[in-house]
Amino acid sequence: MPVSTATMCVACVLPDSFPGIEFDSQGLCNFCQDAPPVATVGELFRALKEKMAAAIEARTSSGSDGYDCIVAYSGGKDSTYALKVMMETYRLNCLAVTIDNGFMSAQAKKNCDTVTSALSVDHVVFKPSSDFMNKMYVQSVRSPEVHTKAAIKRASNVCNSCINLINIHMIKLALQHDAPIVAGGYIGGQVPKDAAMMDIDLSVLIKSRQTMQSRYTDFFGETAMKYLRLPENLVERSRLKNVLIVNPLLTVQVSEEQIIDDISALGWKRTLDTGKNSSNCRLNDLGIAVHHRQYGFNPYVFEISEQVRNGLLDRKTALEKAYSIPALSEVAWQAKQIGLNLDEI
Amino acid sequence: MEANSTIITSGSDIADEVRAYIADHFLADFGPDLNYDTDLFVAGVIDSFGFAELVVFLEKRFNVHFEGEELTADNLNTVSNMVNTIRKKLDAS
Repeated sequence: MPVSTATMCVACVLPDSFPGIEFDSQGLCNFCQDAPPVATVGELFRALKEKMAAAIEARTSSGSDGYDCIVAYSGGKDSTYALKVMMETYRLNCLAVTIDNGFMSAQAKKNCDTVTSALSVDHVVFKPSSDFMNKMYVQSVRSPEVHTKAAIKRASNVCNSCINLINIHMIKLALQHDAPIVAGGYIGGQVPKDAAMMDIDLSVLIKSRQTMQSRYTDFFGETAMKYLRLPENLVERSRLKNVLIVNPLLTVQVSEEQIIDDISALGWKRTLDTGKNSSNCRLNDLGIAVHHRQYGFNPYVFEISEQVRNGLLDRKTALEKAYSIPALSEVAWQAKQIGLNLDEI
Repeated sequence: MEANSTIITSGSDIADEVRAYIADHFLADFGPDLNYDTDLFVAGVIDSFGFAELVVFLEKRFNVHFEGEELTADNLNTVSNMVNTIRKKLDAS
């Protein structure tokens, strides 16, 4: 369903409904005004990559036999590329971990098998109970206050909940395996620009999550603690005091086409049933449709605008991705599956 | 680390800048329910990602570096605590 593109940044496609946006007299938004020139982006990426390489080296120099890195692996293009980079560029002993959220595309599942075989990487799949996941999805739509206000800038509330669960699961595995690094496939705009690496102090994480935990329980029920709590005894038993979270795609200036070329060599294939903004999840379009109804913009628009600013995505493709919003009728089957009444939106 | 060229002269300068950043980036409305002594985690203003973002801002803007043990929620959970922590580091440098 095409959406009006009347009022948006003349450069990056961010709409006037995006929180905090302002335009100058030429129609250029404040995010573009503050962004470094495209010509310098390559150097910025190189500097981030060097910093990340040094941090990884520091964390893995002890020569442990265990896993160096837990990789959040969805079977989508970005996490496939991230897994490839962690295995081949950084030569880490990785454990690829897939969370099956109940809506994984069959092709994404095949991609997981094909790619992990091609890379000879250990792989586990964890599928939380669909009863819990569906309740979490529905409540995330009904009660957006479960997340911070700012979270709407980076993902739909449905996705924020799922991402939360994935992140905690990865950290739990890192602690269980004493793996000092967790890697994800986030790209620019999905996470803070300077978050190519985040050194997470586990005591800080526990404190911040204690606050969120009561919120999760209120909205998602007591079962939420099974999936969204970081057990203190797990932290106490682990040798780790910090976990280094890395997002290697924030350190490389590669276009979507280049990523697909590289991972196709591993046997990765495009999904045909996950919409324009996901390459693994069939629930994604519901999140986008609801988010747009609630807030007036595509939850992927900041990520898309950042790719444009970094010279990695052309404006025409950006407009297509950002402004093709699924109609509610197109996401009716997902809504039915999770038990959401679309009339509530 | 690249420092911002504006000279910080007082704790109130630091507080004003931190408040403005939090209001802009985390869509927070300072007022009766959210003040400089409000725990930003408890208030649901910032999450783990937000905290990482905030730390990057504080380090770049005020040209300080937080060591691992300094990155505790008690040092940086309220605007007042952030100001005190930054002030101590600037005075020590």
